[in-house]
Amino acid sequence: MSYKCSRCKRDVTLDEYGGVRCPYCGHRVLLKERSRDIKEVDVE
Amino acid sequence: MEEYDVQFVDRDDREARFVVRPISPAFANGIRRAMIADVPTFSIDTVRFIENSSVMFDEQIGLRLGLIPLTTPLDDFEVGDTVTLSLDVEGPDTAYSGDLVSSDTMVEPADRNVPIIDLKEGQRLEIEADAVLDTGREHAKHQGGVAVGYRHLQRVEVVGDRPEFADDEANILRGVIEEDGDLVPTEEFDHDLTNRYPESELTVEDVPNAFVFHVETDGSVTVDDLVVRAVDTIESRANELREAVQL
Repeated sequence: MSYKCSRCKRDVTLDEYGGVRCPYCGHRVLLKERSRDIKEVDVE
Repeated sequence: MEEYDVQFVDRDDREARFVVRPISPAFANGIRRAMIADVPTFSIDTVRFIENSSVMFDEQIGLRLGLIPLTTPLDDFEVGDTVTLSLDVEGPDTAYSGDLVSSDTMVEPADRNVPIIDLKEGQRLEIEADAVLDTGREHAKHQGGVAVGYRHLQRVEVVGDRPEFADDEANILRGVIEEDGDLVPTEEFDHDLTNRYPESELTVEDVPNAFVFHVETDGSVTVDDLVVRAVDTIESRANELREAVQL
């Protein structure tokens, strides 16, 4: 699961010990990146 | 087999106007409904989003893609057939229907200038879509005829002179009139009968069992194809009914 720091825009990987915090700048707001999976949508 | 007389007033690939007679109002409406609901056209039905970093949700873009008319050669495909299209546009640019690349040259966007979405710097839309052949009965995106209607052919008769001090009021009539066997669209006299028959007292009446059809397609099929196919579906359903009631 990959996140992006909203302040320094760097990719962040969360582990179970670090809590929700950017390891580079310490910012606590992380944005979840869109999955790279192909999403299939039915047109209705 | 009954014979019908068809006279064209305007005729183009996408839009036409013609008079059919003799037909009953019920049959005229049957043709109209068949043109809307029973002639199949290709339309995008499933979209696979490989990348969508645009400002719109996948579902919204999918809906827009579904409404793009695709050319449909009805002789070569059957209902249920699919054709794959793909699109890959990177911002800053606008993704147009013309950017869709089809796996089959016979099935392509009917218009190349339908905007799908405006992409800014760094945004990208990459998709793969399956277009399926189906009827308007199933979903309105499969409608081939988009502005289909009919009205009675009108006949105008001069019954006398207009009273000398009568008001100069416009006498508006829209459609097609029959004049000594010739068909005259009312646009020719600006829809105003007083331009064509000045100072005359007129009566306007419907010509019984003569209907002026106005047919417009979204470009997926030609008007000729649409009308002929629509009538074919009525025939096939009538045959089906006849066989079903035979004991």
